[in-house]
Amino acid sequence: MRRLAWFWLLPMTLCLVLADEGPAPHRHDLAPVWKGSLVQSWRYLASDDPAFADPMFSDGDLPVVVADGTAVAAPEGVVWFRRDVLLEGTLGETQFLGLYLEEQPVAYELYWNGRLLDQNGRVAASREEERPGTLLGYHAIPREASSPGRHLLAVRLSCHALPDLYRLPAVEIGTLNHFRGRQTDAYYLKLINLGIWFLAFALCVALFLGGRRHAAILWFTLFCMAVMGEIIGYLWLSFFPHPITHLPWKNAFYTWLPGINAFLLHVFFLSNFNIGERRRHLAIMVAVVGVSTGLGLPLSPFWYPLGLVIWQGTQRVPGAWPAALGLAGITLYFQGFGQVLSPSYSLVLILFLFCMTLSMSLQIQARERAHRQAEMRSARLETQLLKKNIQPHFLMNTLLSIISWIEDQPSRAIAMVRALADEFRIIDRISAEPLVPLAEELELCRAHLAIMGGRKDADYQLDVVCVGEEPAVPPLLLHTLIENALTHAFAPGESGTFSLHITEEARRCLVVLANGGSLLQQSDDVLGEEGVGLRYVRARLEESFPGGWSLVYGMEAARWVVRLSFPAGVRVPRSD
Amino acid sequence: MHVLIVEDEPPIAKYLARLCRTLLADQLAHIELCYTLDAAAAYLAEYSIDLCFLDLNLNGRSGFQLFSSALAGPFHTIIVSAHTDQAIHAFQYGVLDFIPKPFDQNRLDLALQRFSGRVAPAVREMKWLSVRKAGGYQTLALEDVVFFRAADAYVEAVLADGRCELLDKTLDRLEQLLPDGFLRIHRSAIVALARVAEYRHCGGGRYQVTTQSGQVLPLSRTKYKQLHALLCGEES
Repeated sequence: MRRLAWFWLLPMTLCLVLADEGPAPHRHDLAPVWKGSLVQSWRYLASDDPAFADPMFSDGDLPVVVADGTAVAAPEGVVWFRRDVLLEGTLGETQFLGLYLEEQPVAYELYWNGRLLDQNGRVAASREEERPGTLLGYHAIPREASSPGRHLLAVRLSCHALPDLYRLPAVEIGTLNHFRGRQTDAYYLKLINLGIWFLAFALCVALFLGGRRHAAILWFTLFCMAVMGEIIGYLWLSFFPHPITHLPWKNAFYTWLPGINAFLLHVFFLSNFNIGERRRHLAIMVAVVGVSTGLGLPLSPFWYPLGLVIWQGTQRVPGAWPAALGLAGITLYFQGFGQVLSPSYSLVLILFLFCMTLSMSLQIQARERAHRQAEMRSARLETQLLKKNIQPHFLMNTLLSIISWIEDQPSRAIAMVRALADEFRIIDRISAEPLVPLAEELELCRAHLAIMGGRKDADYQLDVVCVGEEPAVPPLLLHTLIENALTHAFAPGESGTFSLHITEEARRCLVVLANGGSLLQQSDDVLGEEGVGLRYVRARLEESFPGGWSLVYGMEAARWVVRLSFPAGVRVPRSD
Repeated sequence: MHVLIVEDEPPIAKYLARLCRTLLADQLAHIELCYTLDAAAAYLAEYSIDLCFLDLNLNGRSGFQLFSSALAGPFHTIIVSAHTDQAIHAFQYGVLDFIPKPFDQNRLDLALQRFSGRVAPAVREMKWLSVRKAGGYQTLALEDVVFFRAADAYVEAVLADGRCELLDKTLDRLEQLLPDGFLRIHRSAIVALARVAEYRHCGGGRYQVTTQSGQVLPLSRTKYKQLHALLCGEES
């Protein structure tokens, strides 16, 4: 299975590296036909003078400013920018010249050779009078005004409503067909990617509903939904007109959404690889991504989950390395290495989704295998439990003791028969349960002590102190520990007491079982041996509290003490 | 008759003692109950007994720990245990009988009859011999033994490699335990049939057996016929 997966990964990676430009090929002929089509340097007029748009206006003594994207202080009132544009070549019959204003201010007017070409919003000297334009910055130039030669472009603008987002204007000149083609390319690419994400989303939903409902699949489904939301948001913001005052929201959307997506992906990995201390991992993730995004650091938020997945790979966790490969591709792409890896985001995306699906599949396979093993272990434990108590030597010795008491002291024989019946009845009731209420386990222990008391001609007591809620325990847990101590601690005919102390501390249940006994000094080594009984106890604890339990034992002040610890609050599963 | 009961469950030990008293009646000189291995070992070190009833699991410790000392002793051992899966193992080490728990008076009576020799043991699977040595006990493979010879109060086991080992058991008790491959050929000797090289009448009512390693053993007239029948039967 794994070899087959790698067999597919290799050609996919090769495709990715060798792939050519992604946008639709029929747009290739629409490159701009105008040299120096991006206008960034301007003569600048810091006051509102309509004559500035006139080609006859002399601007030789006005300052030159260059729009390089850096933030500058927003103008107090209305300001002007102008410059000459040299058009070369001839437009095709179906072509129109157009302008695209990057970094739009709140409102602006465009003048071409002194005539108002178009306006977006209403430019005004005060915020009250200013009316924001829309976020679409394309403007057509009439064909008759598009002849080759020198032309004057002037921009009149105001930016009262969003002074913090003010940038010097940069105008791109090209054919409208080029601008529209670029827009259409972006639109369809986004739609294609949306479709890919939707397929992944639908597949995950089907896997979740049709399978064992692994939480990891659900988290990946949420991640897919978030990315789809990002694409839909992008389409909505980019291809539908919005007031320019929505720009801060749009910027926040683009700034924070990748972080949110990375967060969901991180949760998915934590769940998929069943990583512990999730809160700590998530807190670190939120801190790292929050700080880097808040400070505007040029750092992809996917680096942190990538580190996590690589770490899991070094721990030989199934499915970690394919996930690391897919995530590395997409992280490097977003970090700006896209052109080195592959120019096509869609192919990077397909590799990413393939790797994630493979990772989930390998994890599910590993979990199913572990689940089957757990089921077999449970069945083995149940058999062991039954065997422990219907094993011939326990039964035969008990029966022989009963025969002896029948002749010697019939009332004691009757008590033993009743205790034996009780023990078997309780075992029959609990044998198939992974956890049983403490009261039931104690009832079983007392029945066993009554039987053993009859066999050893002694009186054994069980004192219980339980502070707080009674925990659920694996069946025969305490019974096995008591049986173990009983065998090795007390001489025949010697009575004794077991004290059981149960407390809850820091959301953990602490169980202390202690007993004395005259044979303890010589049996210390035998008691500590990992026999069938202790192995059974360990296996039961692992089954019910995987990785979250502890068992220590030894002599303390001439008493044999067993200390158990496991998570508190685990309930007895309801049997159907 | 001096009986020791090694059993960690007092009601069972007392029940066994009661039955022994009933069955042995006047033959019983003393019956001792020991609840732990240590107490049993201490008792055996001090007193000489005829029969030991031994449980195989005593306070979580294996009764086999007492085996080597018990089986090397001059007395017979009868196992009383619910661990019937250990029976073959016990017989291989030379116990006289294995009484599975729970038992009744009839089963104990049968065991006591086997002890007295009135009934032959049901199983004679002995494979190992326990020999007391300085500082402990040694186990010998029965298949290495060529013959057993009475030597005062002891029995001498002569091995194929020529070594002699002294056993703390009478020839009579040993005969009860030995498997079919051994034959009591004289009141003072038991021989491994597979090791017999020659047997002959020497005249004057004297018979003798020569082993493959050249040792000459006395052969009683009554046993001559039995030996002849067994060996001829084997040869045919």
